Amino acid sequence: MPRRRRSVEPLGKISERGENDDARGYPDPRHEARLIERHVRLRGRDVLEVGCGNGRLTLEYAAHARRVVAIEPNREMVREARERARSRGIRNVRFLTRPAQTGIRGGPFDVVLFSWSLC
Amino acid sequence: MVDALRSARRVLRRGGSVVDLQPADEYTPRLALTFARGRTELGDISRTPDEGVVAAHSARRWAVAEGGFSPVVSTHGTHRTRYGRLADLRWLLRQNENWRIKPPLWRTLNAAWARRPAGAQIEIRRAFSLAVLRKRR
Repeated sequence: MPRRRRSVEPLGKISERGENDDARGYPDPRHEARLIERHVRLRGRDVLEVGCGNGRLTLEYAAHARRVVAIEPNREMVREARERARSRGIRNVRFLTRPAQTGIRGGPFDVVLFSWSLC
Repeated sequence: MVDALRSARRVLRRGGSVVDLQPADEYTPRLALTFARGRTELGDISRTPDEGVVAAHSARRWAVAEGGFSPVVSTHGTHRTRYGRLADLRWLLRQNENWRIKPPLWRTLNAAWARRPAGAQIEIRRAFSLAVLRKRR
């Protein structure tokens, strides 16, 4: 039987408006990455992130993943994500301008990550 | 959304996982003022269900019901957003059309904001849901 856990966990204070400027109010990406890695190992894995935005979360875990493909339909966001990755010296991420409807392809991957993007 | 999960299944290795983090389908955002030393709870923001979020939660259930995934983790929690200006809160309400602050809460907020100490911020507490689904077969 698969292990199934139920719990309640705080995700901490999210970044203030301006840094991660989104109406839904994303959590602090460091907290978010830590929460995800509490449940799924990303270290050394091949990851596909769907709807990566400006790379807010991607850049928190990419450095220790093996390879990341991050897709996002908004070209400007992708450009920003690439610049942020470059400025941090992260080289194992490919940011691609693709919608989720047609963009989930390639692989195989160990993890597919929907961070506030399935809804 | 179910299609996105089906596509995800196709690109996953055997035993691979989908991680889905999104707003909780049913929750009430809570409004507070925070200060250097403490906080004042002001009340609840009315929120009608968000169709996109409800559909996404439904897609998760479908993906499991179809037999392509096993649920491994289902958890939820809260997170907070903080804003330094009333204008930011109004902006937030414009973006979330299913949220509404009723007049009595606006009055409470305006009164508290008018006598706020330096550095006070408006805080909204929300709820999220995280699921991990493992590819079957």
